[in-house]
Amino acid sequence: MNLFSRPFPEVWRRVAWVAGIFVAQAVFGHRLSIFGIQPGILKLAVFLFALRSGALPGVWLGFSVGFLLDLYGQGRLGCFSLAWCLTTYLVGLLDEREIYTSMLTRILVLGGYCLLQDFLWAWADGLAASHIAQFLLHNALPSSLYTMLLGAALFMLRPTRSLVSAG
Amino acid sequence: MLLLRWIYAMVVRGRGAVSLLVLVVFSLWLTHFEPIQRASIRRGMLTTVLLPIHSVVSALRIRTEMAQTITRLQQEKTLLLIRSAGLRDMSAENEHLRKMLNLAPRISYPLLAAEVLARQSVRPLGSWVVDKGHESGVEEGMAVLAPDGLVGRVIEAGYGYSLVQILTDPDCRVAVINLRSRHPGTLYSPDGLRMEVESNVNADYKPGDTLVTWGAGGVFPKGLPVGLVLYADPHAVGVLRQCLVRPFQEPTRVENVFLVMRRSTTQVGADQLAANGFEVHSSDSTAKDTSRSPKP
Repeated sequence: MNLFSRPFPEVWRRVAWVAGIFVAQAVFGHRLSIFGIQPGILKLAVFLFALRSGALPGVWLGFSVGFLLDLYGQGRLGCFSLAWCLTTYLVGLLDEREIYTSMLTRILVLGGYCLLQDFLWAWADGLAASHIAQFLLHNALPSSLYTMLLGAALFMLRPTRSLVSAG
Repeated sequence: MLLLRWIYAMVVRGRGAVSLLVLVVFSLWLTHFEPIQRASIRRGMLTTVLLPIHSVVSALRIRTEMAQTITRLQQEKTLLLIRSAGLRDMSAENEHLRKMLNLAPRISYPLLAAEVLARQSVRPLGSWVVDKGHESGVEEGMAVLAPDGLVGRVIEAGYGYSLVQILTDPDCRVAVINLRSRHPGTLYSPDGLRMEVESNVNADYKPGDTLVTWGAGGVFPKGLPVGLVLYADPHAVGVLRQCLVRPFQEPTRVENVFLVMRRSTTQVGADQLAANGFEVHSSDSTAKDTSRSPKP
Protein backbone atom coordinates (compact mmCIF):
# COMPACT_ATOMS: atom_id res chain seq x y z
CA MET A 1 0.00 0.00 0.00
CA ASN A 2 2.82 2.29 -0.85
CA LEU A 3 3.01 4.62 -3.78
CA PHE A 4 6.70 3.94 -4.25
CA SER A 5 6.70 0.24 -3.39
CA ARG A 6 6.10 -0.72 -7.02
CA PRO A 7 7.90 0.31 -10.18
CA PHE A 8 7.34 4.00 -10.63
CA PRO A 9 6.14 4.02 -14.27
CA GLU A 10 3.43 1.43 -13.62
CA VAL A 11 1.44 3.69 -11.29
CA TRP A 12 1.85 6.68 -13.54
CA ARG A 13 0.86 4.66 -16.57
CA ARG A 14 -2.38 3.92 -14.77
CA VAL A 15 -2.74 7.58 -13.85
CA ALA A 16 -2.31 8.42 -17.54
CA TRP A 17 -5.01 5.91 -18.39
CA VAL A 18 -7.38 7.52 -15.92
CA ALA A 19 -6.57 10.97 -17.33
CA GLY A 20 -7.33 9.71 -20.82
CA ILE A 21 -10.60 8.24 -19.60
CA PHE A 22 -11.43 11.55 -17.92
CA VAL A 23 -11.08 13.31 -21.27
CA ALA A 24 -12.99 10.53 -23.06
CA GLN A 25 -15.83 10.72 -20.54
CA ALA A 26 -16.03 14.50 -20.94
CA VAL A 27 -16.09 14.29 -24.73
CA PHE A 28 -17.85 11.04 -25.60
CA GLY A 29 -19.70 10.17 -22.37
CA HIS A 30 -23.07 11.25 -23.69
CA ARG A 31 -22.82 8.83 -26.62
CA LEU A 32 -23.09 5.86 -24.27
CA SER A 33 -26.22 7.28 -22.73
CA ILE A 34 -29.28 5.00 -22.78
CA PHE A 35 -32.61 6.71 -22.04
CA GLY A 36 -30.63 9.56 -20.54
CA ILE A 37 -28.64 7.28 -18.21
CA GLN A 38 -24.89 7.61 -18.52
CA PRO A 39 -22.44 5.05 -17.19
CA GLY A 40 -19.72 6.21 -14.82
CA ILE A 41 -16.74 5.22 -16.94
CA LEU A 42 -14.47 7.44 -14.91
CA LYS A 43 -15.73 5.86 -11.70
CA LEU A 44 -15.02 2.45 -13.16
CA ALA A 45 -11.49 3.48 -14.14
CA VAL A 46 -10.69 4.94 -10.73
CA PHE A 47 -12.25 1.90 -9.03
CA LEU A 48 -10.02 -0.41 -11.03
CA PHE A 49 -7.02 1.78 -10.32
CA ALA A 50 -7.68 1.66 -6.57
CA LEU A 51 -8.10 -2.12 -6.65
CA ARG A 52 -4.85 -2.57 -8.51
CA SER A 53 -2.78 0.10 -6.81
CA GLY A 54 -4.03 0.18 -3.25
CA ALA A 55 -5.42 2.80 -0.86
CA LEU A 56 -2.65 5.40 -0.89
CA PRO A 57 -2.46 5.95 -4.67
CA GLY A 58 -6.20 5.48 -4.77
CA VAL A 59 -6.98 8.21 -2.29
CA TRP A 60 -4.76 10.69 -4.12
CA LEU A 61 -6.10 9.82 -7.52
CA GLY A 62 -9.66 9.90 -6.21
CA PHE A 63 -9.08 13.29 -4.71
CA SER A 64 -7.45 14.60 -7.93
CA VAL A 65 -10.28 13.40 -10.14
CA GLY A 66 -12.84 14.73 -7.67
CA PHE A 67 -11.09 18.08 -7.53
CA LEU A 68 -11.08 18.26 -11.35
CA LEU A 69 -14.77 17.53 -11.37
CA ASP A 70 -15.27 20.21 -8.73
CA LEU A 71 -13.47 22.72 -10.91
CA TYR A 72 -15.44 21.74 -14.00
CA GLY A 73 -18.75 21.66 -12.15
CA GLN A 74 -20.96 24.46 -10.98
CA GLY A 75 -21.88 23.37 -7.46
CA ARG A 76 -20.09 23.73 -4.18
CA LEU A 77 -16.32 23.19 -4.29
CA GLY A 78 -14.93 20.15 -2.49
CA CYS A 79 -18.00 17.92 -2.73
CA PHE A 80 -16.65 15.70 -5.47
CA SER A 81 -13.18 15.70 -3.86
CA LEU A 82 -14.59 14.54 -0.55
CA ALA A 83 -16.80 11.85 -2.06
CA TRP A 84 -14.17 10.52 -4.43
CA CYS A 85 -11.24 10.42 -2.02
CA LEU A 86 -13.27 8.72 0.70
CA THR A 87 -14.80 6.06 -1.51
CA THR A 88 -11.63 5.39 -3.46
CA TYR A 89 -9.71 4.98 -0.23
CA LEU A 90 -12.25 2.39 0.92
CA VAL A 91 -11.94 0.51 -2.36
CA GLY A 92 -8.16 0.73 -2.13
CA LEU A 93 -8.30 -1.18 1.13
CA LEU A 94 -9.36 -4.17 -0.98
CA ASP A 95 -5.98 -4.11 -2.74
CA GLU A 96 -6.08 -7.16 -4.94
CA ARG A 97 -2.46 -8.02 -4.16
CA GLU A 98 -3.42 -8.59 -0.55
CA ILE A 99 -7.10 -9.53 -0.55
CA TYR A 100 -8.80 -11.95 -2.92
CA THR A 101 -12.19 -10.80 -4.14
CA SER A 102 -14.42 -12.85 -6.44
CA MET A 103 -15.88 -11.29 -9.54
CA LEU A 104 -19.35 -11.07 -8.02
CA THR A 105 -17.95 -9.32 -4.95
CA ARG A 106 -16.10 -6.84 -7.13
CA ILE A 107 -19.24 -6.07 -9.10
CA LEU A 108 -21.26 -5.58 -5.90
CA VAL A 109 -18.50 -3.43 -4.40
CA LEU A 110 -18.46 -1.38 -7.61
CA GLY A 111 -22.22 -0.77 -7.25
CA GLY A 112 -21.79 0.22 -3.62
CA TYR A 113 -18.86 2.46 -4.54
CA CYS A 114 -20.92 4.34 -7.13
CA LEU A 115 -23.94 4.72 -4.86
CA LEU A 116 -21.90 5.78 -1.83
CA GLN A 117 -20.00 8.27 -3.93
CA ASP A 118 -23.21 9.82 -5.24
CA PHE A 119 -24.70 9.87 -1.76
CA LEU A 120 -21.64 11.58 -0.28
CA TRP A 121 -21.60 14.13 -3.08
CA ALA A 122 -25.31 14.91 -2.59
CA TRP A 123 -24.88 15.15 1.17
CA ALA A 124 -21.83 17.41 0.92
CA ASP A 125 -23.56 19.59 -1.61
CA GLY A 126 -26.24 20.27 0.97
CA LEU A 127 -29.17 18.57 -0.72
CA ALA A 128 -32.21 17.97 1.49
CA ALA A 129 -32.86 14.39 2.57
CA SER A 130 -35.90 14.01 0.33
CA HIS A 131 -33.95 15.30 -2.65
CA ILE A 132 -31.09 12.96 -1.86
CA ALA A 133 -33.47 9.99 -1.87
CA GLN A 134 -34.97 11.09 -5.16
CA PHE A 135 -31.55 11.68 -6.65
CA LEU A 136 -30.31 8.27 -5.57
CA LEU A 137 -33.40 6.52 -6.88
CA HIS A 138 -33.77 8.27 -10.21
CA ASN A 139 -30.19 9.10 -11.14
CA ALA A 140 -27.60 7.32 -9.06
CA LEU A 141 -29.15 3.85 -9.01
CA PRO A 142 -29.72 3.46 -12.78
CA SER A 143 -26.30 4.89 -13.49
CA SER A 144 -24.72 2.55 -10.94
CA LEU A 145 -26.45 -0.46 -12.49
CA TYR A 146 -25.21 0.57 -15.91
CA THR A 147 -21.69 1.00 -14.54
CA MET A 148 -21.90 -2.40 -12.85
CA LEU A 149 -22.84 -3.93 -16.18
CA LEU A 150 -19.85 -2.35 -17.88
CA GLY A 151 -17.71 -3.32 -14.89
CA ALA A 152 -18.76 -6.96 -15.20
CA ALA A 153 -17.69 -6.93 -18.85
CA LEU A 154 -14.40 -5.29 -17.95
CA PHE A 155 -13.68 -7.69 -15.10
CA MET A 156 -14.25 -10.58 -17.47
CA LEU A 157 -11.80 -9.12 -19.94
CA ARG A 158 -9.23 -8.29 -17.27
CA PRO A 159 -9.39 -10.84 -14.47
CA THR A 160 -8.01 -10.10 -11.02
CA ARG A 161 -4.24 -10.09 -10.58
CA SER A 162 -4.57 -11.13 -6.98
CA LEU A 163 -1.55 -12.77 -5.42
CA VAL A 164 -3.82 -14.35 -2.81
CA SER A 165 -5.83 -17.43 -3.71
CA ALA A 166 -9.52 -17.88 -2.95
CA GLY A 167 -8.88 -20.60 -0.38
CA MET B 1 11.66 15.82 20.33
CA LEU B 2 10.62 12.29 21.14
CA LEU B 3 7.02 13.24 20.55
CA LEU B 4 7.84 14.64 17.13
CA ARG B 5 9.73 11.51 16.17
CA TRP B 6 6.78 9.39 17.30
CA ILE B 7 4.38 11.50 15.22
CA TYR B 8 6.66 11.17 12.19
CA ALA B 9 6.83 7.39 12.63
CA MET B 10 3.04 7.16 12.87
CA VAL B 11 2.60 9.29 9.76
CA VAL B 12 5.05 7.20 7.76
CA ARG B 13 3.43 3.97 8.92
CA GLY B 14 -0.14 5.03 8.20
CA ARG B 15 0.38 7.17 5.15
CA GLY B 16 -2.88 6.09 3.58
CA ALA B 17 -5.02 7.03 6.57
CA VAL B 18 -3.12 10.30 7.08
CA SER B 19 -3.53 11.19 3.41
CA LEU B 20 -7.22 10.47 3.67
CA LEU B 21 -7.52 12.61 6.76
CA VAL B 22 -5.68 15.51 5.16
CA LEU B 23 -7.67 15.31 1.97
CA VAL B 24 -11.01 15.03 3.75
CA VAL B 25 -10.20 18.07 5.87
CA PHE B 26 -9.05 19.95 2.78
CA SER B 27 -12.23 18.98 0.91
CA LEU B 28 -14.43 20.05 3.81
CA TRP B 29 -12.55 23.33 3.94
CA LEU B 30 -13.22 23.83 0.21
CA THR B 31 -16.97 23.35 0.72
CA HIS B 32 -17.09 26.48 2.86
CA PHE B 33 -16.09 28.88 0.12
CA GLU B 34 -18.55 31.55 -0.91
CA PRO B 35 -19.89 31.49 -4.50
CA ILE B 36 -17.70 34.47 -5.52
CA GLN B 37 -14.58 32.81 -4.14
CA ARG B 38 -15.52 29.53 -5.83
CA ALA B 39 -15.91 31.29 -9.16
CA SER B 40 -12.53 32.99 -8.86
CA ILE B 41 -10.82 29.71 -7.87
CA ARG B 42 -12.40 27.89 -10.77
CA ARG B 43 -11.46 30.65 -13.20
CA GLY B 44 -7.90 30.79 -11.87
CA MET B 45 -7.39 27.04 -12.07
CA LEU B 46 -8.97 26.59 -15.46
CA THR B 47 -6.93 29.38 -17.01
CA THR B 48 -3.60 28.28 -15.58
CA VAL B 49 -2.94 24.79 -14.26
CA LEU B 50 -5.80 23.06 -16.01
CA LEU B 51 -5.57 25.02 -19.23
CA PRO B 52 -3.98 22.14 -21.25
CA ILE B 53 -6.65 19.66 -20.12
CA HIS B 54 -9.35 22.23 -20.67
CA SER B 55 -8.06 22.98 -24.16
CA VAL B 56 -7.88 19.31 -25.12
CA VAL B 57 -11.38 18.61 -23.80
CA SER B 58 -12.81 21.71 -25.49
CA ALA B 59 -11.11 21.01 -28.81
CA LEU B 60 -12.23 17.38 -28.85
CA ARG B 61 -15.73 18.27 -27.80
CA ILE B 62 -16.02 20.94 -30.48
CA ARG B 63 -14.68 18.57 -33.14
CA THR B 64 -17.08 15.77 -32.25
CA GLU B 65 -20.02 18.13 -31.94
CA MET B 66 -19.14 19.71 -35.28
CA ALA B 67 -18.92 16.32 -36.91
CA GLN B 68 -22.31 15.41 -35.49
CA THR B 69 -23.77 18.74 -36.59
CA ILE B 70 -22.42 18.31 -40.12
CA THR B 71 -23.90 14.82 -40.34
CA ARG B 72 -27.25 16.05 -39.03
CA LEU B 73 -27.27 18.99 -41.43
CA GLN B 74 -26.44 16.74 -44.35
CA GLN B 75 -29.31 14.45 -43.42
CA GLU B 76 -31.65 17.43 -43.12
CA LYS B 77 -30.48 18.77 -46.46
CA THR B 78 -31.15 15.42 -48.15
CA LEU B 79 -34.60 15.23 -46.59
CA LEU B 80 -35.37 18.79 -47.66
CA LEU B 81 -34.23 18.07 -51.19
CA ILE B 82 -36.53 15.05 -51.34
CA ARG B 83 -39.37 17.08 -49.89
CA SER B 84 -38.73 19.94 -52.28
CA ALA B 85 -38.75 17.56 -55.26
CA GLY B 86 -42.02 16.08 -53.98
CA LEU B 87 -43.56 19.54 -53.64
CA ARG B 88 -42.46 20.52 -57.13
CA ASP B 89 -44.00 17.34 -58.47
CA MET B 90 -47.24 18.01 -56.57
CA SER B 91 -47.30 21.57 -57.85
CA ALA B 92 -46.95 20.42 -61.46
CA GLU B 93 -49.62 17.79 -60.95
CA ASN B 94 -51.91 20.37 -59.35
CA GLU B 95 -51.51 22.69 -62.32
CA HIS B 96 -52.15 19.81 -64.69
CA LEU B 97 -55.34 18.80 -62.86
CA ARG B 98 -56.55 22.40 -62.79
CA LYS B 99 -56.23 22.53 -66.56
CA MET B 100 -58.13 19.28 -66.80
CA LEU B 101 -60.91 20.68 -64.64
CA ASN B 102 -61.17 23.68 -66.94
CA LEU B 103 -61.53 21.31 -69.90
CA ALA B 104 -64.35 19.26 -68.39
CA PRO B 105 -67.22 21.79 -68.83
CA ARG B 106 -66.52 22.05 -72.59
CA ILE B 107 -67.34 18.38 -73.18
CA SER B 108 -70.97 17.33 -73.04
CA TYR B 109 -70.19 13.69 -72.22
CA PRO B 110 -69.22 12.26 -68.85
CA LEU B 111 -65.49 12.15 -68.34
CA LEU B 112 -63.52 9.58 -66.40
CA ALA B 113 -60.16 10.62 -65.02
CA ALA B 114 -57.34 8.12 -65.43
CA GLU B 115 -53.63 8.03 -64.85
CA VAL B 116 -51.08 6.94 -67.42
CA LEU B 117 -49.36 3.93 -65.90
CA ALA B 118 -47.00 2.95 -68.67
CA ARG B 119 -45.91 3.74 -72.14
CA GLN B 120 -45.12 1.03 -74.60
CA SER B 121 -41.40 0.42 -74.42
CA VAL B 122 -40.94 -0.57 -78.07
CA ARG B 123 -42.80 2.39 -79.44
CA PRO B 124 -43.10 4.96 -76.64
CA LEU B 125 -45.32 7.26 -78.67
CA GLY B 126 -47.54 4.45 -79.91
CA SER B 127 -49.68 3.36 -77.00
CA TRP B 128 -50.16 3.91 -73.28
CA VAL B 129 -51.66 1.93 -70.46
CA VAL B 130 -54.07 3.79 -68.19
CA ASP B 131 -55.37 2.67 -64.80
CA LYS B 132 -59.09 2.40 -65.63
CA GLY B 133 -60.66 -0.60 -67.30
CA HIS B 134 -64.01 -2.09 -68.17
CA GLU B 135 -64.96 -2.31 -64.48
CA SER B 136 -65.16 1.51 -64.63
CA GLY B 137 -67.26 1.43 -67.78
CA VAL B 138 -64.42 1.93 -70.22
CA GLU B 139 -65.00 0.46 -73.67
CA GLU B 140 -63.03 0.18 -76.87
CA GLY B 141 -63.20 3.19 -79.12
CA MET B 142 -63.68 5.77 -76.38
CA ALA B 143 -61.82 9.02 -76.98
CA VAL B 144 -59.00 10.01 -74.66
CA LEU B 145 -58.37 13.65 -73.82
CA ALA B 146 -55.56 15.48 -72.10
CA PRO B 147 -55.89 19.04 -70.74
CA ASP B 148 -54.96 20.66 -74.05
CA GLY B 149 -56.69 18.38 -76.48
CA LEU B 150 -57.25 14.96 -77.96
CA VAL B 151 -54.50 12.40 -77.41
CA GLY B 152 -55.95 9.10 -78.61
CA ARG B 153 -58.55 6.41 -78.11
CA VAL B 154 -59.05 3.21 -76.18
CA ILE B 155 -58.22 0.17 -78.25
CA GLU B 156 -58.55 -2.40 -75.48
CA ALA B 157 -60.25 -2.34 -72.10
CA GLY B 158 -59.17 -4.94 -69.57
CA TYR B 159 -59.87 -5.30 -65.88
CA GLY B 160 -58.16 -2.38 -64.14
CA TYR B 161 -56.39 -1.11 -67.21
CA SER B 162 -56.99 0.08 -70.73
CA LEU B 163 -54.70 0.34 -73.69
CA VAL B 164 -54.77 3.72 -75.40
CA GLN B 165 -53.67 4.22 -78.96
CA ILE B 166 -52.31 7.75 -79.22
CA LEU B 167 -52.37 10.06 -82.19
CA THR B 168 -48.71 9.62 -83.05
CA ASP B 169 -49.23 5.91 -83.62
CA PRO B 170 -48.74 5.48 -87.41
CA ASP B 171 -51.75 3.12 -87.41
CA CYS B 172 -54.05 5.78 -85.99
CA ARG B 173 -56.35 7.80 -88.26
CA VAL B 174 -58.65 10.56 -87.06
CA ALA B 175 -61.20 12.40 -89.12
CA VAL B 176 -60.72 16.12 -88.53
CA ILE B 177 -62.23 19.31 -89.86
CA ASN B 178 -60.73 22.71 -90.42
CA LEU B 179 -62.63 25.14 -88.21
CA ARG B 180 -62.09 28.06 -90.56
CA SER B 181 -62.76 26.53 -93.97
CA ARG B 182 -64.86 23.55 -92.75
CA HIS B 183 -62.85 21.30 -95.05
CA PRO B 184 -62.34 17.79 -93.70
CA GLY B 185 -59.17 15.75 -93.65
CA THR B 186 -57.53 12.74 -92.06
CA LEU B 187 -54.98 13.18 -89.33
CA TYR B 188 -52.21 10.61 -89.09
CA SER B 189 -48.54 10.26 -88.24
CA PRO B 190 -46.30 8.95 -91.04
CA ASP B 191 -43.34 8.11 -88.80
CA GLY B 192 -44.52 8.18 -85.18
CA LEU B 193 -43.12 11.68 -84.68
CA ARG B 194 -44.61 14.19 -87.12
CA MET B 195 -48.33 14.66 -87.55
CA GLU B 196 -49.94 15.47 -90.82
CA VAL B 197 -53.41 16.02 -92.12
CA GLU B 198 -54.25 14.58 -95.49
CA SER B 199 -56.95 16.32 -97.47
CA ASN B 200 -58.21 16.93 -100.93
CA VAL B 201 -55.66 18.87 -102.97
CA ASN B 202 -58.19 21.62 -103.40
CA ALA B 203 -59.12 21.87 -99.71
CA ASP B 204 -58.44 25.21 -98.09
CA TYR B 205 -55.75 24.67 -95.45
CA LYS B 206 -53.49 27.45 -94.25
CA PRO B 207 -50.89 27.72 -91.49
CA GLY B 208 -52.60 28.63 -88.21
CA ASP B 209 -55.87 26.86 -89.00
CA THR B 210 -57.40 25.00 -86.06
CA LEU B 211 -58.34 21.37 -86.47
CA VAL B 212 -61.02 19.64 -84.40
CA THR B 213 -62.53 16.16 -84.64
CA TRP B 214 -65.10 15.85 -87.32
CA GLY B 215 -67.18 13.08 -85.79
CA ALA B 216 -67.24 11.05 -88.99
CA GLY B 217 -66.75 7.34 -88.36
CA GLY B 218 -68.43 7.60 -84.99
CA VAL B 219 -65.32 6.96 -82.93
CA PHE B 220 -64.60 10.50 -81.74
CA PRO B 221 -67.28 12.97 -80.70
CA LYS B 222 -67.42 16.05 -82.86
CA GLY B 223 -65.50 19.19 -81.91
CA LEU B 224 -62.64 17.89 -79.74
CA PRO B 225 -59.55 20.10 -80.16
CA VAL B 226 -56.78 18.36 -82.09
CA GLY B 227 -54.10 20.77 -83.31
CA LEU B 228 -52.91 23.63 -85.48
CA VAL B 229 -51.80 23.57 -89.10
CA LEU B 230 -48.12 24.51 -89.21
CA TYR B 231 -47.38 24.22 -92.88
CA ALA B 232 -49.59 23.72 -95.93
CA ASP B 233 -47.90 23.11 -99.27
CA PRO B 234 -49.47 25.63 -101.71
CA HIS B 235 -48.01 23.84 -104.75
CA ALA B 236 -49.30 20.35 -104.09
CA VAL B 237 -49.99 18.26 -107.15
CA GLY B 238 -52.04 15.11 -107.52
CA VAL B 239 -55.21 14.20 -105.68
CA LEU B 240 -54.22 14.60 -102.03
CA ARG B 241 -52.28 17.16 -100.09
CA GLN B 242 -50.40 16.75 -96.76
CA CYS B 243 -50.19 19.59 -94.23
CA LEU B 244 -47.93 19.56 -91.18
CA VAL B 245 -49.85 19.73 -87.88
CA ARG B 246 -48.80 20.57 -84.33
CA PRO B 247 -51.09 18.83 -81.83
CA PHE B 248 -52.51 20.96 -79.03
CA GLN B 249 -51.41 18.39 -76.50
CA GLU B 250 -47.74 17.45 -76.42
CA PRO B 251 -47.99 13.65 -75.88
CA THR B 252 -44.73 13.24 -73.97
CA ARG B 253 -45.93 15.52 -71.17
CA VAL B 254 -49.16 13.72 -70.39
CA GLU B 255 -49.58 12.09 -66.98
CA ASN B 256 -53.33 12.21 -66.42
CA VAL B 257 -56.06 11.83 -69.02
CA PHE B 258 -59.85 11.93 -69.32
CA LEU B 259 -61.72 9.13 -71.00
CA VAL B 260 -64.82 10.40 -72.78
CA MET B 261 -67.53 8.03 -71.59
CA ARG B 262 -69.37 7.88 -74.88
CA ARG B 263 -69.70 4.67 -76.81
CA SER B 264 -68.59 5.02 -80.40
CA THR B 265 -71.53 4.93 -82.78
CA THR B 266 -69.97 2.07 -84.73
CA GLN B 267 -69.83 0.06 -81.53
CA VAL B 268 -73.46 0.88 -80.75
CA GLY B 269 -74.48 -0.17 -84.25
CA ALA B 270 -72.49 -3.37 -84.01
CA ASP B 271 -74.12 -4.18 -80.68
CA GLN B 272 -77.59 -3.62 -82.14
CA LEU B 273 -76.81 -5.89 -85.08
CA ALA B 274 -75.43 -8.54 -82.73
CA ALA B 275 -78.58 -8.24 -80.58
CA ASN B 276 -80.68 -8.90 -83.69
CA GLY B 277 -78.79 -12.07 -84.45
CA PHE B 278 -76.41 -10.80 -87.14
CA GLU B 279 -72.76 -11.80 -87.20
CA VAL B 280 -70.61 -8.68 -86.94
CA HIS B 281 -67.11 -8.26 -88.38
CA SER B 282 -65.36 -4.99 -87.64
CA SER B 283 -64.05 -3.35 -90.79
CA ASP B 284 -62.77 -0.24 -89.04
CA SER B 285 -59.11 -1.06 -88.72
CA THR B 286 -58.38 2.27 -87.13
CA ALA B 287 -60.77 1.77 -84.26
CA LYS B 288 -59.60 -1.69 -83.35
CA ASP B 289 -55.99 -2.57 -83.80
CA THR B 290 -55.70 -6.14 -82.63
CA SER B 291 -52.09 -6.51 -83.66
CA ARG B 292 -50.98 -5.22 -80.26
CA SER B 293 -50.66 -7.42 -77.24
CA PRO B 294 -51.10 -5.21 -74.21
CA LYS B 295 -49.70 -6.73 -71.08
CA PRO B 296 -49.37 -4.01 -68.47
